Amino acid sequence: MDIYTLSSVNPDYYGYSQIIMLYHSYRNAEFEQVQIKINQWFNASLCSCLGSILDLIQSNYNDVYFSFDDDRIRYTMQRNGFLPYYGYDKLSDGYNTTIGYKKLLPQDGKCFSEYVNDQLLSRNDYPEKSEFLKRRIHESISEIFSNAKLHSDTINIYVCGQCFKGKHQIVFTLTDTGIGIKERVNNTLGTNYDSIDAIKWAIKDRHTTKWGVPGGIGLSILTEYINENNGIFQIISDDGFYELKDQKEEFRKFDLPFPGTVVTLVFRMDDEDVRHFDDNDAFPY
Amino acid sequence: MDKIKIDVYNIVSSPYCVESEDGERIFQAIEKALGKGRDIVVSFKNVEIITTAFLNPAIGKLLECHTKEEVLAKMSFVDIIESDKLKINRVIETAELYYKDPDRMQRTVDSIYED
Repeated sequence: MDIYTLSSVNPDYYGYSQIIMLYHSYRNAEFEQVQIKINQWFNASLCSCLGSILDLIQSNYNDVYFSFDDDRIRYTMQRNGFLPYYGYDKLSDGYNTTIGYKKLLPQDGKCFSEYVNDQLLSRNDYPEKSEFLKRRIHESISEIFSNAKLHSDTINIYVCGQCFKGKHQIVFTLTDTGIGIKERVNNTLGTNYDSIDAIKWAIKDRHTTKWGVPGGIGLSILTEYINENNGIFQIISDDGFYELKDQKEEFRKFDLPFPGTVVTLVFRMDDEDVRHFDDNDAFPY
Repeated sequence: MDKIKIDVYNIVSSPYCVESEDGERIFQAIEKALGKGRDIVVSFKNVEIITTAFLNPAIGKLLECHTKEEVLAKMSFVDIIESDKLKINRVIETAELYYKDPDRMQRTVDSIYED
């Protein structure tokens, strides 16, 4: 039995590349044992996209097994509820750093909001943070969930996060295995965009693939929030990679496509420089 | 004539206004009152989160059959924080543009090459 190794997996181009390669290594396998070894480090928020592709792999009657070179990684993935999907016991989170792995239906929007509130915002790690910042985080994550629901035709939405107290960061990843941004945009516009041009189009203000009702401002508002927070916003869809970091945008291509869309948001919890609305922004109505 | 009060929390049954289907229910309530020529107060008391996925059908869709001036003359929003008011503002502006020219989206094909 071959062992597939994931090594030092972070939410960056190389981390996502490893998960995409894992998917393509087994996408056509049937009735096989898939042995995954996790080495050195695995950012727990990426349990979201790992879980999504393992569901696709398991749908072909493949069995998935894990091994770890460091038990601390296993403990984290047991505490956040990911490994119990693969036969491990669920452990309680004594360190209070995990943001639980969940597999939701697109129509579970309000359940998802309750999950965000319970897992991210009601915890005592950042009691000094303003309600304004917490609300913005909640809104941002909820906008991403709504986008997945409205545009991807996915069956499940996979979510997971991780709180890094030392770095004052919350990382949150949401994954769907729907049709992806490229196909959605091209179907809507009749274009032949590649994945990067499709992402570029989708993140522009007032662009939406939903016909019949106005929309297309959710992602614009989200990018404004991320820029104000000095956070990070990533989209992985098909073979396209997009990252907004330090107010700079980066686009890259993967060798092979991800079977859906991943969105990762990184929020800085030590950033008090959050813009508050001044008189010039006053509601005109 | 007394204003009609629409209590969003009561209709959505949640502090989370995140579902487009809930937005549609708010739209129906507002549209019915507008159809009777009544002034409307939309209260967001006890609502914690409002997304554009909710606001587009709830408020933006009103611009399909009413002018912005008509909607704003008849409606007011209370128990809502400033940033959410701004979000409603953007939804209304976007909806006004959309319904003036629903085919505009098709002409955005080359917009990614403009920056």
